[in-house]
This record gives sequence, structure tokens and C-alpha cells, in this order.
Amino acid sequence: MKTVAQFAIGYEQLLDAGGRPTGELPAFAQDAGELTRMYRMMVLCRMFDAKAINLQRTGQLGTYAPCTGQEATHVGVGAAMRPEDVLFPVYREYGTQLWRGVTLTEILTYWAGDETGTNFAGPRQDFPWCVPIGSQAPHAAGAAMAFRIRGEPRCAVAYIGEGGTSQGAFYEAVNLAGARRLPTVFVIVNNGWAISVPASAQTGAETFAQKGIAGGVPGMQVDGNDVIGVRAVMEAALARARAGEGPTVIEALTYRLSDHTTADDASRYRPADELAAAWQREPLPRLRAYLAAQGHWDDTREQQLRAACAAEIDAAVKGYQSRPRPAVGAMFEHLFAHPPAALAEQREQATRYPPPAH
Amino acid sequence: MTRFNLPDLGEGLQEAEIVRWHVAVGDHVTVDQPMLAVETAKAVVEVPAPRDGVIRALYGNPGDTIATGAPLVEFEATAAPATDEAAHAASPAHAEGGVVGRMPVSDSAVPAAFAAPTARSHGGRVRAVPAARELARRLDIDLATVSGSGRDGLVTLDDVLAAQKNAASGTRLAATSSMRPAPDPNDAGEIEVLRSLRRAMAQSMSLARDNVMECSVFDDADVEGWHQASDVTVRLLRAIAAGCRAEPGLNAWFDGSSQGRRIFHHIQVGIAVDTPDGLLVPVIRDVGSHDAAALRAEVNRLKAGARDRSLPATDLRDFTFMLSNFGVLAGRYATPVVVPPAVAILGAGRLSRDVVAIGDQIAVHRRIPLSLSFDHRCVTGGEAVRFLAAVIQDLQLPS
Repeated sequence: MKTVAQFAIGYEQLLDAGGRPTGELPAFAQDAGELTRMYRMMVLCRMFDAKAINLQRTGQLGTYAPCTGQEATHVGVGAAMRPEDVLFPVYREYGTQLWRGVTLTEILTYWAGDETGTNFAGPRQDFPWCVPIGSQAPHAAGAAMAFRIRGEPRCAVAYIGEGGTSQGAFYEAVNLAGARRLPTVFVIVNNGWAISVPASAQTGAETFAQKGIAGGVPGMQVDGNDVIGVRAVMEAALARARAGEGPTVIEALTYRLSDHTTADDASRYRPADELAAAWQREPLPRLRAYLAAQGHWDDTREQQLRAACAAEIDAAVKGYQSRPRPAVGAMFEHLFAHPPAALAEQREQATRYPPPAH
Repeated sequence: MTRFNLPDLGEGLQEAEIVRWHVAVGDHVTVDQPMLAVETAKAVVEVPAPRDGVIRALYGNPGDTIATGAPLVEFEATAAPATDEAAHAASPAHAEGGVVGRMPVSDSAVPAAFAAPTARSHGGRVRAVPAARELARRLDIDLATVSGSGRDGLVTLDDVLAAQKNAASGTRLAATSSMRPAPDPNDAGEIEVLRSLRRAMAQSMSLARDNVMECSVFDDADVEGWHQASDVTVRLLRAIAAGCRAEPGLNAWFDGSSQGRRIFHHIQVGIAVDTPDGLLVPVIRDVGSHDAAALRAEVNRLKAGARDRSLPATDLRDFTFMLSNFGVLAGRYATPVVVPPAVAILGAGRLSRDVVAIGDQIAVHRRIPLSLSFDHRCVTGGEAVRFLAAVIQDLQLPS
């Protein structure tokens, strides 16, 4: 039998776990100001996570999905995108969203159950958080088709978890994007766990990146805790898409250092030694180590950064707590152009019997 | 004063159990400082301080179950009350309801901690979950007569069911006794929400009812031959050990979902102890390998610990067989309830003097009435009666 096609899955890492370059770094990484901006965003995400969890634990926020451990993937993707591109987030990629202009107050508002938080003042055309697993992939493929029809040089970026790639919708979207060479990048955030299902139990494939191959979409892995590596492969994929060369599947290998959400207790199913090992690879110290080695970072700057982030977070929390309270009828808005009768009846009842004032 | 109520720590959780406090009354705390660990149905979580302040009261001890929305901590603000959290809490913008908790600020000198919840608001409309509202409509129960046990007096399904039960028993009374006026529905008294041991009993009995196929068998042990000073409880423990040696299948756990049975070598007997707070079941370890004096000492320790609620959790779990010595008070036979995963329970009634046939003669002998319940899903009738025969044989030994 002769071989008719051959495939390979590449793996990219530009900063190792100790913050040492594995080779020559791309142009953006020569700009200390740009790297510092990326580091600052990762620290902000980490500190915001802690605050949001405390708000939930004190009854001041609903269920929250933390991002701790995955900041490099999120910030690297966000920094590679252009403002006119469109993001299709899942529910914990705050680093990408903040980079694109979503505010901390909007994030808190959404997790309070107030959907007006998804009405982003910044990236007006980015899609809102979407909890149904895997739904982002076909949304992004559809948007990319619209860009193609309109002749706009824009890209659609879909997030999906490694668990989400088991959904049929993911394969359908990859197939469509591959068949039409759509300007789409599918970012698979492989954080090791789909709630309590380990990645090892999720697929029989060696990598999640190869799930693009059958759709004619090249796939690659990147160290998702290496923000420089993530941004580099993401920039290359976006350039390819913008040049009409079609979609890419990127599998970012990272780790969910937190619980799945504030309603989860990962210690019940996740081995403690695995978690401890993952902390040794986490993204923040490695970029800090690189910056320090280049003479761009020290303890004083770290303390100043943390104080500035704390102040920014405090201001966002105050903004969240003092936002106008939505009227009861607001939850029925923006769902249908013409609400069906059952929904109209519910809205009528809800506004007739508002919750008691306290 | 600012009171901090237990928020919903998951998604729609009704309660949480206090694991441990990290702070004490009088402590200064700063916002986000860990205050306590609680265990919910989903997770053990650390609850941080919602604000800076001095702790004036802690509501609840480790092991206590706190309902979502019930008081947890009382603070005295260290900052001026017009700032920060106090202002937010008072602000109409502050979210409340199912998703986001709130921190009411009370100027009242009276701690409002245990004010009775009320479900009335907005022109008399009762707050009830939709399913409870629909159930009440179907059962023709006026929601205004139902006292709500949920957050802020919210009427739940259980409240409606309890109200229906009260109404039904009232109807029966009225039907059977024409001498008595129909009970006044407003005189039903407040529904007492079960807590602690009584709540645990309700849960384990419901579990038993829903899972166990229970079967009971009764007999008597003739103990006329006993020496005067025999210790009934210790003799019963020894007899259970003899029964388990004859039929090890009764000293076992059964898991219905996996159809798995686990037979134990050691016999750990849970003893039902009646306390004012409810039923407590401390466990005597390895009953088969202790002499009478050691067993009596252990029974005394566990009973004393049960009465003053000082027993550690390790003394209260993992029994493999249960003994209910209810006859100390009254009662001859019973159908004691098998509590899963255990598969059997022995009940002992009041030691009595009975007229018995000895050969062709009539005699009066002291006898202990015995009631054995077993889970017929994994214990056969033959095993049960052979167990009971071995118990009786051991009990009837003079010493």
C-alpha cells in the first residue's frame, strides 16, 4: 500500500518553564513595553480571579468561572488579534476580553446574573459569554463566512475547551471552515480537565490539535503557559486566515489551577500531586523571570504593579456594586423581536409581582 | 451593626455545615480575610470577610447546619458607616435575590438574628416557589395559611406538603369526633424546621424507607436461668456477636446501586441512644473481642458522651449492625428500621415475666422479647432466623 497523505502535529514553546528563551524570539518580544503590558494583564487577571471568588463566597456575586493558570493563553490570543476581528469566548477567557476592551465591571455584572454585562462598551461586535459547550465553533465559522461574503479582512476566533471538542458542533464547524477556507482560528484551551473529566479520558487521539486534520485544517500545539509562544502562533494563524489561506486549529496546553467554577471542588477528583506539578509550570513567574533577566523588571515594579491592579479591581468592584439595578422586566428583553405568548405572560406576571424591596 | 448572612455558596444550595471558625468574637478582620470553612453539598469552601470590622457574634458551632440566608456573623464596622460596603448594602442598586446575597445594615439595638421569617409582602401576596404555588392550588390550600421555611420566609414544596398533612389530620379528627369542633386552621402553630440530630434522623429514615426491603421476625429469649446481676445490654451485645458468628451475612453492608455486599470480620454495633435533641447512634467497636467489663465501660462512655453531645464524629459512624434496646422504657415488640448500608437491626423489648409452657407444666419465666429486622434484598429469611436462634441460644446461657 502506498501512502497518499501524511500529517504531523507541531509543538511550539518560545519561553521554557524557567523563563529562558528556547531560540530567537519574535519581533513583538523585543519590545519591553509590549511584554510588560502582557505581564500586567496576566497579573490583573490573577488578582481579579481571587477577588471575584471572594465576592462569590460573601454572597456578592453569583457563580464565577476562574481563569487562574490560563492567563498566558488568554492574553497571548488577545494580544495577537486586531480590534476588527471578532472573539467568540466561552466563559473564562478574561485575559483576551480585557485586552480587547471588556471591563472588569462588565465581567462582574454578567456573573451577577445581569446579562447587560455582555453589552460590551469596548469590542461592540465581540460575542458574549456563551456557556453551551462547543457552540462557539459554528458561531465563529458562520461569522467568518459573513466576512468572506462582505469582503472584509477580518478573522473570527473561537474558543473551545478540550472537552468541548467532543461535541459534534466542533467537527461541523471545522469541516465548514476547512471546506470554505474561512478566516477562522479555533483555539482549543486544553486545561487538563472538563470539569471532572480528565483530558486523558476525553479522546483516543494523541493530541486535540489533530482534530482539525480530518477537516483539512492544519493543527498545532503550543505551550499555553508561554505567552510569547501563544501570541506568536496566534499571529501566524491570523495572518494565514487574513491572507485567504484558511483556518487553523491551535491547541494551547495549559492547566486549570482553580476549581471549574465556584460551585465546584476539584480536590474531590483531581490528584493533589498533579496540581502541585502544574503550579511549577504556571505562566506568571516565567514571563516575570524573562523580564527580570532582561533588566526590565524587579521587586519594586512588581509591588507597584500589584498595588495598581488592586486599585483598579477595587474601583471595578465599586462600579459593579453601584451600577443601576435593572428592572425586573429587563431579563425578558433582547431575546425575541416578537416574544412568544408564554414569555409575554411571564413578563407580565414578573412585572406585576416584583420582588420585595429590602 | 452589620449582619452577614450565609450566602448561596453554589448554585441553589439550601444550606451549609460549619466545618471550623478561623475567627472569634472580638477579632478585627479585614475584607477578604478567611473567616470560616463550611461544607456544602458540593464542596468545602472558605468564606472570607465581606468587610473590615470587629466581630461581635458568630452564629453556629462546627457541625451546625446553617440555612442559606440565615445569620452567620455580626460585625461592628471599623470604618465610617457611610462608606464602602455599608453604602453598597443600602444602595437600591445592590443586587439581591436568588443569585446575589446582600448585607443588611441594622441600626436596631436588638440583634435581629432570629426574627421569625415572614412570607408576606406586597399587599398580602405570599412569596412561594412556583412549584409550591402550583401544588397549593391543586391541593386547595391557601398559601396564606402556610408558614414558609425558606429564605426570607419563602414557602417551599415541603411547607405545602406539611400544611396538607396538618389539614388532612384535622379533617380526620373532625370526621371521627362529632363532639369536637373542627380545628382552627390559624391555631396550627408555627412549623418547626428540623435541625441537627432530628434532621439527620429524618434524612436517614427517608433513605431507609426508599431503599430497604425490610422484613421483621419476633421471638423471646427465656432468661429465667440468668444470675441475678446480669447486665442486659452487655448480654445483648455478646449475643449479637454470637449471631454474627453463626450468620456473618447479617454483619454486612449492602449497596443496592451496585448490588454489592461487604461482609465484615469485626462487629461494630451502633446503639440507638435517645436524647432530647433526637436519636444518636454511637458505635461500639469490635464487640466480639471484649469481655463484659470492657463492653460495659464502653457503653457507659458512649452513653454519657451522647447525652452531652461530646462524642467525636469517629464514634458515630461506620456501624455494621445496630441494637435498639427500647424496652428499657416500654414496648414488647417493634419493627426496628434497618439503616443502610447496614442490613440488620435487633430490637430488645421490656424484660417481662411471662407464663410459659415447660413441658406439660405452666411456669412463670423472665423473658426478653426480641425483634429482628433485616434487609431482605441481601439477607435470606433462613439466615435471619438462624441468626436469631444463635442470639437466643447465647442469651439463654446462665452467664
